[in-house]
Amino acid sequence: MSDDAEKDYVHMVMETAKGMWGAEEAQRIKDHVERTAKAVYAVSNYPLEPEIEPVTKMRPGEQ
Amino acid sequence: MEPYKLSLSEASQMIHEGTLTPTKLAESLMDRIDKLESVLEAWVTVERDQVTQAAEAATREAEEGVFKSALHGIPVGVKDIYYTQGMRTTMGSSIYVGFVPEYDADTVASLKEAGAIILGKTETTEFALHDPASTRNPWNTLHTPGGSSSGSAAAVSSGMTQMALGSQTGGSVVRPASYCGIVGFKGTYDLLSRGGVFPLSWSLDHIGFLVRTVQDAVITLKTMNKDVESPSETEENPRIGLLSGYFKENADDDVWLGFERAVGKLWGEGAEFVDVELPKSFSMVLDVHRVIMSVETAAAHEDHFRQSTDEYREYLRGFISSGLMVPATAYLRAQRIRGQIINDMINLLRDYDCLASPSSVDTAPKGLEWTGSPVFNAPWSLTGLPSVTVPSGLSENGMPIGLQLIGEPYADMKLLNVASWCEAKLEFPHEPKDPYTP
Repeated sequence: MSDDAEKDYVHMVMETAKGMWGAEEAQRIKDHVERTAKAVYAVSNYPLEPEIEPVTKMRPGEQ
Repeated sequence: MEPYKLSLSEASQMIHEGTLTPTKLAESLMDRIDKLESVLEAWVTVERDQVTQAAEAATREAEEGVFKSALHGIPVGVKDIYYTQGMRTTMGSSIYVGFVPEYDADTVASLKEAGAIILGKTETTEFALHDPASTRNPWNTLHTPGGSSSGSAAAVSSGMTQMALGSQTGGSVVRPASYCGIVGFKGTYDLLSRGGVFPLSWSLDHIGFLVRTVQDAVITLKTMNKDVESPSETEENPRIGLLSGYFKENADDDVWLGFERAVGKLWGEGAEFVDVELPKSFSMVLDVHRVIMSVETAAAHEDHFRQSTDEYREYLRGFISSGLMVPATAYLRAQRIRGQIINDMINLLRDYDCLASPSSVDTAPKGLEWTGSPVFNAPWSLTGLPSVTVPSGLSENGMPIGLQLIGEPYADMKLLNVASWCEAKLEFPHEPKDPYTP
């Protein structure tokens, strides 16, 4: 994952926040939205371990 | 000695011996509250008449040789997110300012059943998150006592009660206890019932309590959960995994120095310390914690929040809003990574009696607008592992530093045994003192 990809994701979430809460409110809660978006990005790009993680163990073709 | 100065275990012993009555103890604690509350602001509610009546009843029972438990006749504080039947419960929020529950939280009910007296409700940050209460640190009233169990920490530290319930979702028991120079314990996830405690993040919320000594924690835990297992007595010195890396990088210099000093002292007394390497998955702890907590907090408040956003204070308002935007798949993935972290930490703990780190990044910060960082405690709320802080010394600015110990799941009593060993060797000499304002 690159820094640019993370920035793009956080930017996209901020744009969504403006749509959900309005521009003024989105600005007010900007720090929270950005911090949570960064956490979501990190979580979404962290590899799960199929050996110990039962859901991913069920991937077709890997049984 | 004035009864308010006693530890819980000392007070309990004296009540059982007949050398102290619950009435005398309650009077001493309420006098202490009268003296200090205007400065410390640790309490939301103290029901004096009810406390007096309950203490008189406990005194009569004691005179007749009836003792319901080790906590018989001991007045205790309860964080204001625990439901208390007939007693106002505000959650530190204007939304619940007049709320009076019709039933007790399970833990409150078990304390009453054990003969403890509910002295009152202690201050909390808004819904136990971040927006601070007005409570001040007894060691220096210009500093925060930490949060979210702010009132519980200040009340125990200053001698207004011997024990107070707290709760921890990030670092809300261990950090304020450390900041206030007392013992704070949160058990293994689900060891103590969360029933009747307003949720902040239900898969991260832990019941905990703040006391003055580790022995007080042992007595409290055994009273609140009779099934908790005590390990067999051992004369062996503890083998402790030393957490550095992440902890050393994030700790203030004086806190890390204090931690090294405590470790050196314990090593000199015979403890074995081994440097441990944190697993790769540990790097995800804070991100996983934030994703889970923001979603669960948002879910707990969603209905009311959408109707009455303006009733929430600044931090919680932003936190809930951000949680409402997290994709469901990210929440589930966070829970799955959490499983990996738990596995890795349990494997790491197998070789040690417990792990050790500083209890907080810093000593209690100056000012009341920020209750400090939970990043040294959140890993153990995420993994559900039991943790305890023991006061280990003072920093250069005179504020307490704590030693945090982390144990295996459901080895809570074993952890407290190690904590007791450390407490005895560290000999933290500082009694609760009158609030100090420079």
